[in-house]
Amino acid sequence: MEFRVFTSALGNGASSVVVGGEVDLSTAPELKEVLTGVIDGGSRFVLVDLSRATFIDSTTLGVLMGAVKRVRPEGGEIAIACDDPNIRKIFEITLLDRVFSIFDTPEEGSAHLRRASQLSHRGVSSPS
Amino acid sequence: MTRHVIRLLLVPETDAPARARSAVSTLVGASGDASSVFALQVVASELVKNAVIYGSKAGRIRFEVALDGGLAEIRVTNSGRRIRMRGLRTHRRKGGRGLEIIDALASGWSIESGPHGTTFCVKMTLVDTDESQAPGRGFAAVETGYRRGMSSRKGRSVVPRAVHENVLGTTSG
Repeated sequence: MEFRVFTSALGNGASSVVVGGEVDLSTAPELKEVLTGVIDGGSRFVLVDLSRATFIDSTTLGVLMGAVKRVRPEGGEIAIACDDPNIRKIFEITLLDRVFSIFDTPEEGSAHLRRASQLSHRGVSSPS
Repeated sequence: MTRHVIRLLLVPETDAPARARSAVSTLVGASGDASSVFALQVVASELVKNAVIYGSKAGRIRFEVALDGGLAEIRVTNSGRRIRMRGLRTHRRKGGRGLEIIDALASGWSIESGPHGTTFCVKMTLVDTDESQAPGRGFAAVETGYRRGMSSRKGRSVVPRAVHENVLGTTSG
């Protein structure tokens, strides 16, 4: 599947970055650019939807960690949606499943981030 | 015992990892279970990615993937400076996770590095199709102690099942 990435607003200041195809050395820079644009645009709560991704590698993880480092100091969060056991395993073996909240479906991830964003606007820490 | 091999000569550009993954898919994909194919593709991709990033830009990357019964071996050679183990450890501390992933998925790996280049060799034990149907199974963490409680059973038969050395092709790209 060809690499694709696009964004959408989730409401409450949260955004979604939907990724399809293979994310690797060749395509990760595009993901990084899109994520950077979303964060620069003011979103501190971002769902990276990997439901349509067919491959990720350590470059992908580096891009995601870069996004975490940008939003966390401002109380934000990067969450992942992914139900592919092979891709989830990459997060598990690198222990990054402890860094990201990972949801089976984009709907669950979106709901989580909308809540977190809402709480953040009220000045309440999100229980992640 | 069967030994099927694909060898590629890759230009060190960003599409090289995808070419290596494609070779893995060609060799294993038709009859291999999805988890094993994915694990092999991840390892192949990480090794070639490292060769692209750290190897000589003027040289070529030699990529070889071989299947022999239940064992897979991936060998990636790049020209360039010697890699020092201390450098690898520093890279991991700085957040590089490629080797961490390889370490978790491989049953063993080695590095030979000299003044003219580096060869990474990774061995993986594949599991058979029946075992790999269940979620969370299929990666062979046979001797490495996969951290998250995966099965550590020995792999059994694996694809392909034919039995003679067969070089499927060498591609220059």
